[in-house]
Formats: sequence, C-alpha cells, structure tokens
Amino acid sequence: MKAKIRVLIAKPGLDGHDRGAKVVARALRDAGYEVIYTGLRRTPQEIARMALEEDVDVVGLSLLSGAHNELFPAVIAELKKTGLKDVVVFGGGVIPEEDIPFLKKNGLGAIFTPGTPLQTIIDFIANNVKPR
Amino acid sequence: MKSLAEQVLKSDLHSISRALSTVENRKEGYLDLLDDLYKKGKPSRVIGVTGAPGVGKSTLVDVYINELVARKKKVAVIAVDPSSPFSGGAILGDRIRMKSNYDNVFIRSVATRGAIGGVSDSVFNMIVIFRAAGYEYIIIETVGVGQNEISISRLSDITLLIMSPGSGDDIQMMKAGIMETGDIFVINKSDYPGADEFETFLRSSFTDINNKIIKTSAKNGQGVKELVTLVDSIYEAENDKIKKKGKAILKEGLKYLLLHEMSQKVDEVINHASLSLDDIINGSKSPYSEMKRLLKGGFLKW
Repeated sequence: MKAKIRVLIAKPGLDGHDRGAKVVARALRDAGYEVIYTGLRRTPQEIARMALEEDVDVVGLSLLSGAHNELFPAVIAELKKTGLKDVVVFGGGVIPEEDIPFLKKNGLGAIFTPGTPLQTIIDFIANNVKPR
Repeated sequence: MKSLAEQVLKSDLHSISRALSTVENRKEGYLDLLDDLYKKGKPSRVIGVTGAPGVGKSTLVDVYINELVARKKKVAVIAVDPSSPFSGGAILGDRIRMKSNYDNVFIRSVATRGAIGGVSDSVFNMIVIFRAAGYEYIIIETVGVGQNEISISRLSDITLLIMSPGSGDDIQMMKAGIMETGDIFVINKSDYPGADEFETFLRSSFTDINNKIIKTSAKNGQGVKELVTLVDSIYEAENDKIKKKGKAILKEGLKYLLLHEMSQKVDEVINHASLSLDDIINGSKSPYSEMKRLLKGGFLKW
C-alpha cells in the first residue's frame, strides 16, 4: 500500500488567527493528504513532540503576529533536537519579503504569503516530500 | 525490522512512531514486526471512547489523560477521524483539544482510510505496538459516530459511550446499534441545562444494571475522577467478564487480519483470473455461476 503523506499544520506562539491555517489544512485534505492540526498557541517543544508522535513528512507553520523570525527558527531547532531531520518545513502568514531569505537560510523550505494560490502549496509538498 | 521491534520494546518514541506508520501503511514485513511484538506485549487496559460528533470526546479524553497521569500511569491514545471518500485525505483534529503534555503520554491521530465502523482497520495492530512499548492504558477515540458504527465495542475491553444533554428521548435509547455498545454511559457537558432530565431518560431506558451511568463535565473536570475510578473498578470487579471479552477481541482481530488478506486475494482474482465476462453478457453464464466456479476452484490459494 502506498504510504499517505502526513502533514502537521501548526500554530506556534500567541496569535489567535487560524483562518489561514484552516484554509490550507482543508486544501491539503482535498489534495489527499492526512492533515493533523495542532490548534492554537503551541510551543516549539509541543510542535516537535507532535511531529514525532504523528510521524509526519511535513510541518507547516502559520504565524501572523510578526514573531516569525524568532519562532520559526525555534521550531526548526526543536525538530532537530527531537531528531526529526528529514521533515520538510514551510511557513505561511503575513511575512515581509525581506525576512524570507533569513527564514530560508534557517531551514524553512518555503514561505507562502497572502495571495499564494493553494495549488502552489500542494505542489511544494508533492515536489519536496520523498516517498518512503 | 528486527531492530525496530527491539527499540519499540525499549519504548523509544521514534521507533514507536515509525512502527505505527509501518503497520498503518502495511509496509513489507509489518506482519513479522507485529508477530515479534505481540508475544512480548505487556498487560494493558484498552478503553474505547465513542459518541456523536461534538459531544466532547476529545476534551474528555484530555482530562482523562490528566487523571491517569496524576495516578502515574503511562497512556497511549489512538484518535480516529474520518478519511475523505473523495480525496482520501483527512483532517485529524482531535489533538486540538488535547492540551496536556507529558513524557508518559503518546497520542497518535489516525484516519479511517475507508473503514466504515468508526475506527481504522489498523487499530487492533496499533494496540499491539503500544502494548509492547509498555503503555498501561490505551484509549481509542472513534470518529464522531451516528447510530450504527460499533466496531470499537469489539476492539476495546470497556466502551464509554459519550452523550450530552439533549441527545434525544427514551425512544432514541431503545434503538439498536450504538446504544447497545456502552459499558458505561457518560453524560458529558453535564453543566448544561437538561442533564438531569437526560439522566432520567437513560435510567428509565436501561433496567439492566450492568450499564453504568455517570455525569461529567470535561470543561470543569466534574465527574472525571469518578469516571476513571469506575473504569478501574470494573477491571477489578468484573475480571472474568474482561477476560471473556479479551477472547472476543482476539477473534475480531483475527477477522480483520483475514479479511484484509482475503480482500487482496479478491482484487487479484477479479483483475487476473480468466473471468467469463463475455459468457455472462451473452447469457450462457451468470455472475452467480461464475462466483461458484471461483469458490470451487479454491480462489484463496490463487
């Protein structure tokens, strides 16, 4: 049987806006992925633990508060510490263009800002997750 | 696989997680892995949690976990949500309500992947992994069920049927199916109006005192300690019943295993056997004579 691709959609930090995360989660569901949603206000440690327990291929981080430069790398560090080296990580939210190179340098595979077509996100996962 | 089994027995989290995926995806060698682990399984309590969508199953499981952790127990949760029959994808949202973080708790979200009884076909096998890893309590949360998804009662030692006030009158309680599966009836959201009236409906509908009724509020924690204690007391007081149930669960597990192998055989036969479809179309044979021919030919040995 072909393994299903599993995606963790996570909300790190304190912002309480998850409409974007939910829209992306649904689009990924419709693309045939199994999507686990963390719910709001999770710490990087919690997110890494969930990624471990759920054996996900991908972690998608959603953040709209402006704390992405701190929290996204913190999640990456926590994933590494947990021993999850192969997980593909992407981010999304209201993120200024000029922050994107820094985030990519820190382990984010892609950053999707408002207006990104959902298909772009689906394609990113399809192209970056290695079958196992 | 040998080392994976060894690591699971040492309760290594990465290996448990990987083993669960191996089994769920039925990767090559998964049956050998399970065979290894089954023999080394430790005793555990398997508790099913079922009920309609939105009655508070996940929230109740969260507070149930807290109580078990307070009692120094190691807990695994298998939280099932439905797969889309259209895309095959799923939203697994049970852990949104599960806010507790403990080293001794392992939560795994599982999609039904086409199974129709309210759980996934892999649940029996996943329990084997958690047993081998030494989890003392294994809680299985079903999808939000309607009246007829009762698989959980055939896989767990004790089934908690979660309801909330306003879930219907005594006629609903009389209906066959889900209402027959609860070993314990839990009236959750009992801080809402109508809880007492609902309890009266329940009590008047079940003269069989084997069914136990308890009121909880997962939100404020009311009744949760009592629920955990009640479940544990059943294990102690009705040990013979639980043992008998264990045999029934084994039978069910074997059925899952055989059905899976057989359905694969059926696919093979349907796709490769020399079916006389043209003869059926021109009227000299029927689907029924064809079925009899395949069965007589011993298609399982195909």
